[in-house]
Amino acid sequence: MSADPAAAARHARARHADEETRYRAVAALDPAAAADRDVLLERLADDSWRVRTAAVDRLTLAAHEVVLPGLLAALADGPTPGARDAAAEALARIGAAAVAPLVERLEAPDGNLRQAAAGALGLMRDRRAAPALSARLADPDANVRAAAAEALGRIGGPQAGDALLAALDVPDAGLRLAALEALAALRLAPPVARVAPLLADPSLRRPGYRVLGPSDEPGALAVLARGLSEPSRRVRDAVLGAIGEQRARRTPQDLAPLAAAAADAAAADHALGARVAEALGGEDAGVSVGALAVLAWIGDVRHAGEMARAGEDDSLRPLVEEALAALPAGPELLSVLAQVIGELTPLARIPAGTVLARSGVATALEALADAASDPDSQVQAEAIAALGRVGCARAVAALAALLGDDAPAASGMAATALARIAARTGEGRAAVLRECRRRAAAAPCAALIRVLGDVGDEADLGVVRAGAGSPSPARRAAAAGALAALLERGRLGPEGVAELTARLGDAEPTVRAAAARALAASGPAASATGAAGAALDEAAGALARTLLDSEPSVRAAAAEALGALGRRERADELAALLAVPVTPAVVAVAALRALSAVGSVPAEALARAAAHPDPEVVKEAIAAAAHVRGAEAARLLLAAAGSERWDVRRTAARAMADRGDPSLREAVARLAAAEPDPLVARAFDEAARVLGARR
Amino acid sequence: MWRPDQAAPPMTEEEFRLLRDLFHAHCGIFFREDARYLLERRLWPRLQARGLDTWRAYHRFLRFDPARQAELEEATDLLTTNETYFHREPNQLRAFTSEILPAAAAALGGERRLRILSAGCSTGEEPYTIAVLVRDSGLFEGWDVEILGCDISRRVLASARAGAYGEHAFRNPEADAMRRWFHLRSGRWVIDAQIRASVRLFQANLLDEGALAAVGRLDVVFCRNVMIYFDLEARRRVLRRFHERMRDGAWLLLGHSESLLNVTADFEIVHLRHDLVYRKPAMTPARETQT
Repeated sequence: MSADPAAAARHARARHADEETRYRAVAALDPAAAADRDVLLERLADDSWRVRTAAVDRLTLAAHEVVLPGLLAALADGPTPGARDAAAEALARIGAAAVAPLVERLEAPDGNLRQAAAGALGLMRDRRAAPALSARLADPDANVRAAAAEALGRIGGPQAGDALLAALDVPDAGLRLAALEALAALRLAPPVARVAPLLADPSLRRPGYRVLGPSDEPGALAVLARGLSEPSRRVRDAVLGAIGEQRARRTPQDLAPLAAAAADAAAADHALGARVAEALGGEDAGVSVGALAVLAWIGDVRHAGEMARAGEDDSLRPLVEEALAALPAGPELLSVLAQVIGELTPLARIPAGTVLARSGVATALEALADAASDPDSQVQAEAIAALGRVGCARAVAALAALLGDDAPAASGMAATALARIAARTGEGRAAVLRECRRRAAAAPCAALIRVLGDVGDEADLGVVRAGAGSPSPARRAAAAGALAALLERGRLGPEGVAELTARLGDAEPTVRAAAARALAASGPAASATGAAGAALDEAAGALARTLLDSEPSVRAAAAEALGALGRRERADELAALLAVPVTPAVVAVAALRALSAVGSVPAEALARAAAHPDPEVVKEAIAAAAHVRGAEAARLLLAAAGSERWDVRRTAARAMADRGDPSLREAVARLAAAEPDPLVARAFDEAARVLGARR
Repeated sequence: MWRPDQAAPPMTEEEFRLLRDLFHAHCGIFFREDARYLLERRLWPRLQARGLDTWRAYHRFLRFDPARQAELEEATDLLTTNETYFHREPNQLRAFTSEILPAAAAALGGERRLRILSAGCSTGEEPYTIAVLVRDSGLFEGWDVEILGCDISRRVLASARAGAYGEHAFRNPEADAMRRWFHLRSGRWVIDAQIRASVRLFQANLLDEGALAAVGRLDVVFCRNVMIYFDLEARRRVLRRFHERMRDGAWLLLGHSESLLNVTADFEIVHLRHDLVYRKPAMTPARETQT
């Protein structure tokens, strides 16, 4: 009994018979106070999950060294499984400080404790635990072996991958299953020759097929094709999930053997299409992707309705259109789609409508044209893109009508769609030009000028130049971009460089920045003609003066243009942009890119940029440092590898690989082993591979 | 990787994380890894509109372009808009009308005041459904009833205020009965003025400290398919915010795929005949005096 009556009352409430009373009392205990902490540790064994969770929440707030002994004791001797799980959760939340004591407990005589320690280490995903967990794959206790495999599947990395692969050869079926599931979770495909024999065991088929999704071996496709005939729905879903992943990894040519095998299987088994269609609409989008691909390959029109319905899922819509378009065109397909389209959501109607419109169904094209002005911006965006894919003359007219839209988003998307139609066929280009010229004669607008720059020729220079002199800044900026596009495509001579240079003096910053970007885009093409030397020298001089512009975005565009034009003689002026106390981030990034492009990054500028408060500047400095000789740049990379930010560390890992400096080998191997973030760890693994630090 | 023409360029994990972190810093919404497709699909039109080709370029635009603030708001709007409809998740609404509303009528009979919040109300289908259900229950005649709807997007709130819907908003068969509260005008179903007046719509970022400051004591909170956008910490913050504003015994209704397991233990699960819902536990006088 506590001598402090208030504490005694608190503790009594935390042990009260009423759950809500205990919950509220536990949530108010102070884990820094020893007496309260003891009660919190005791409550890890509470019957109520809510109370146990509240105890975990409170305990993880205290200094780690204070709570670790109690939590480790609860992990070992907690009176109930719930208490031990709660202790594992708290230890996992504590993270790094708990790794070493948990690794120590992997050697404990008590199998339950070893299993609990493995589980907690898996929750932490700390790579430092991988060697000890790998050793536990040979534990005498089957539950410990499975827990270690599962933990390695969460942690990942080369060592975990190697250990799990080795576990596929052991006689213990339970461990093989856990190892396969862990490899599937890591998307790490073992060699097909090692997986194929495992599929003889029905209990291993689901993870066995799934793990072939990320396989790059051609043999994986034949195994997956056989899997389509699996009688179990769960196993078939795993096959379809793996096919979905393969579909994203390979070209249609590479997938052709799988497509042919699926078609053969469907010819031999008429119920195959229906069984595959069952998988659409499940929770795993990857399975639906595989099902759509297979239904397209087998060309079973009867399931077009289910396929169209799958378009209600955002992530599946492009694949739905592609799969529907791959079905045999004909009255049966059109009839099935026409029947279901009215029942679909407005977004799901778009892929089905696109297929119908491409087949010449006029009402479907009209519906898409209507949807291109829908008040819902997502419906509008997808309809505009769909009209671009339909690409016929009537779709061009509907898109061109949007170019003058007040909403810049709609006109911008329509311009992009029109440029793509024009790029696809000569007929498309002619239709786009005809429609846009007709409209430009009546009412030129910024988006129209953009399209004429992308698609037009000498005949359109008049409209574009008129835009350059227009009172509208949007039109002047669009005209700068259009002049650059015409220059790049050889439709405008070197005089275009001078026209763009003159635009650097525009009163409007957006136009000055657009002119600088236009010079960056068109300069190399103009330079290649050999006739624009003087004009380009003049442009470089004007761009160098623009480095002093009052607007950061204009200074940045000018700096990047000097880099794109390869003006090494302007390196000092570019470096000077980094010499001010805090250069705006946009300018610093552009200056570093330009200096890298001209191959002249002064060490001082690099050091200053690496200390910039904006991480984007720091990352640019790291990327530049990869190509700067000397120990100073290497030190900068090592310092960046210890950054708190994942993106800075990842950039450092890539820069180390790019640098190819063998003196970094050991450091990279150490960093790869200790990196807690899987994405960054993969970059360090790759750097280690490039530098020859492993295998 | 093979992509169909005009599909979004594939977003790498790194690009996804950079954009995710940017939106998290902007509005607290945290996209999990499985939302990468959502970002790809919904933001691709923004790249087209801005004439950009890569996600890296878009990230740079959002970081540095003079128009970045406007673009962030546009993009947030696109990312947070949920396609919705009347009478969504009918089982839960059956639990609401046949069990929660009668319980609320009994518990609140003294003060005769009912406040229901639809958090993340999007284009208004949910608060209007609730308003119709409360009215049709006949349990709250003469009461002070207010249905509140909030969302982070001003664009969807403008649409909710207009209260005009296409046929598709009624696609759930249970929603057919609601049509009598709408008038068909120029092919759109427009909400009846009485129902419209019983719903108060306001803009709020649920992560903001003062988001619900102007809201009184809440009796029911609907927050369906909203917290899927938040990371664990943000979910806890939002739930704490609700908890503070809810009276003891008030109800919390989440989307069917959502659970409070491992998020908070502040609410208890209640097994109703038609559904599982959450409730802020009532601290009875007995409980307070038992110690």
